[in-house]
Amino acid sequence: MSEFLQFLINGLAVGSMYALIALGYTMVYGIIQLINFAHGEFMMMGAFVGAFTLNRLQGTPLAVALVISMLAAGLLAVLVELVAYRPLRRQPKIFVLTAAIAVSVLLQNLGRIVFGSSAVSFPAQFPQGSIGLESLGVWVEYSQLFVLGLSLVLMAALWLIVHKTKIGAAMRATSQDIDAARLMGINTNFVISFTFFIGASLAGAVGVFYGMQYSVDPLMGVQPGLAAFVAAVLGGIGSLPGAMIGGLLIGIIENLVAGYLSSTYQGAITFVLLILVLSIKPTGLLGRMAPVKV
Amino acid sequence: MKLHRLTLPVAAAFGLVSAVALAANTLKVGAVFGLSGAQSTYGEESINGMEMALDDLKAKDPALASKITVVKEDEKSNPIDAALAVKKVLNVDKVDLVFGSVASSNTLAMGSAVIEAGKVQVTPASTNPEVTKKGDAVFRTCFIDPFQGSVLADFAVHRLNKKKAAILLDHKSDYSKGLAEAFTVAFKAAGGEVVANESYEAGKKDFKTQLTKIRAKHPEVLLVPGYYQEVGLIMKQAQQMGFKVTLLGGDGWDSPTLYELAGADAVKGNYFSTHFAPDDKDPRVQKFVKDYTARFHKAPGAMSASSYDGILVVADAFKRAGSNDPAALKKALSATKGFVGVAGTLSINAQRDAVKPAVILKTEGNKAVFEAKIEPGQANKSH
Repeated sequence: MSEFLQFLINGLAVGSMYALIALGYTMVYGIIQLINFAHGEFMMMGAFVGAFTLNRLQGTPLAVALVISMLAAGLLAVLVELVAYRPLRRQPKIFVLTAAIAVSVLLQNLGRIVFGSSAVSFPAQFPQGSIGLESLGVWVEYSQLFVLGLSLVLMAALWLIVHKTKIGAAMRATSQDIDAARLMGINTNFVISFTFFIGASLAGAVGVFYGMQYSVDPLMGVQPGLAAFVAAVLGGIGSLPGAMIGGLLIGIIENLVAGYLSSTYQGAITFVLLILVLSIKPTGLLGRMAPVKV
Repeated sequence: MKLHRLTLPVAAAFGLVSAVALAANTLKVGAVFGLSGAQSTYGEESINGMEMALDDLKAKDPALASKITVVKEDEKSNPIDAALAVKKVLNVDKVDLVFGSVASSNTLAMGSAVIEAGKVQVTPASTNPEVTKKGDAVFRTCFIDPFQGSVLADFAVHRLNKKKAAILLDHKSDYSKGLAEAFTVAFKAAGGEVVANESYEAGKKDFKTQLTKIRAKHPEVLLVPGYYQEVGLIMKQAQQMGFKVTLLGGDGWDSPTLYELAGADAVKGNYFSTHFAPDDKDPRVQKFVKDYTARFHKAPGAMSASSYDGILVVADAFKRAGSNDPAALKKALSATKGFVGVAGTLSINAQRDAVKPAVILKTEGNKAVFEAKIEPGQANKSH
């Protein structure tokens, strides 16, 4: 029992980060039907900005570094959309998808040239240690609690933006029908930029969480990016609650499989899930079948 | 028609010149290392070691040094790019000999292309046994993992008095799997027991579930035969979990990044086997460390020393072969006996692997210090 709880906690901590990245995938898909494969790289860039802020500007509080990283990742995404995706928006979808893969490779190599290719770590900005629940034999680290808590706060903030603000209403309208939204006077270009900004800033926050707990390197976005993509598909791509649930589920399943089956299958299980979802319920847990527009 | 009359002798002369050039014993080396990606500090150390060796050769044997030219290529720390990089140096740069790489999976990905092109490959640091089994054109100037594995197993049993081991390996790395297997065989033969076998995938950063499982089995030592980028995080996470165990590893640990990622408290008190100890009292080693540090402003790692020795073995074989002819080069490389390098004295055996000593280093806060030197044959005696 104590082992199960420990695996569950490890899974929730990783899963909450997958969920935040998955939200960005699903938002962008919801609004322009693009799987933005460069999304993991926004996380990497956010992590490097965080590392730079904390390592070079000694004494910067973690909260300030977090905000700077989120802004930087968000602005980078706006720029990428403007330069690489917007000119291709009226082209077949495969063009933009290919551009997204190109941007991903480009950003990885840019990261390598600018930041160097060896991994760096953050200074210990955070109280180290864990809360032991002796009776259950379970340890929860402070950093795990922090990441889980802040992830929930960010998800709640996102929900408020999408459902309670004017720009949120515009986002929902644009995702339902971009042409109709434009006819209603919505500046859809701005709405798309804003969506990219919000999605990538969440990824940037995850970058800082990753750096805080692990390390920062130019290829760090690849594995969590893929896991989050599967999470978004599992939850139903285009659905915000779906991405959250999908992310948490992938994190938990990964760790339960490593815990009870074999850690050799930890990486593979994500893709087994992807195949299962696509063949059994392609719309995912909470996704709707989108009517094909004629 | 004068022109016509001229063409023939000129062509003949050219033919002669090019024939002379072929046999005029110059050696073009294609140095293929991971200059970017996860093992980039190895690539950097290897290139630095090689360049320093060639400059030292210039002072010692200028005639030989002037005949050797080098082109560098990045294998980006993965097998796919390694296969592309080796084709580039073979087909575009037309090199006579490929020098590289470090990670066994990447060196393995290069072997076939070298054999197909009828050229020769020498790796200074790939320790997986399969590397030289590719064909008689592949040589190495370092020891192999069965030796490294038995050195570690012997050290754990006889020096540390530990009989219960767990293993956490990278299941996508040929090096990691090979070293774990060799350790397991030797550890059991020495009377030890392996109580847990777990794995991870390079690129992952969270190992807590694996460590939770391993902790439940109460091992006395934990073998982590991976590369520094993951090993550093594993040390840090074990410490965060309050899991106290002595970690053991191989030459994949040997990088300054390890200490940076793990942090001083998590890293200290663990042991790894490698090719070379920078604090070795041998004056040859001390001179190497001093020169290297002065030139590159950082201390040499094991890959710097391996590559320094490796390219000098190549130069020595080329001198004895007297030409860049692959058959002659292979014969000369095979005949390497008692070559004295900074990482120990080495001979090439019938399997084209180097027979040479290994060292065990103990990790401290920000560096590793010499703990033991194990001669070949010494490790195999106890079982």
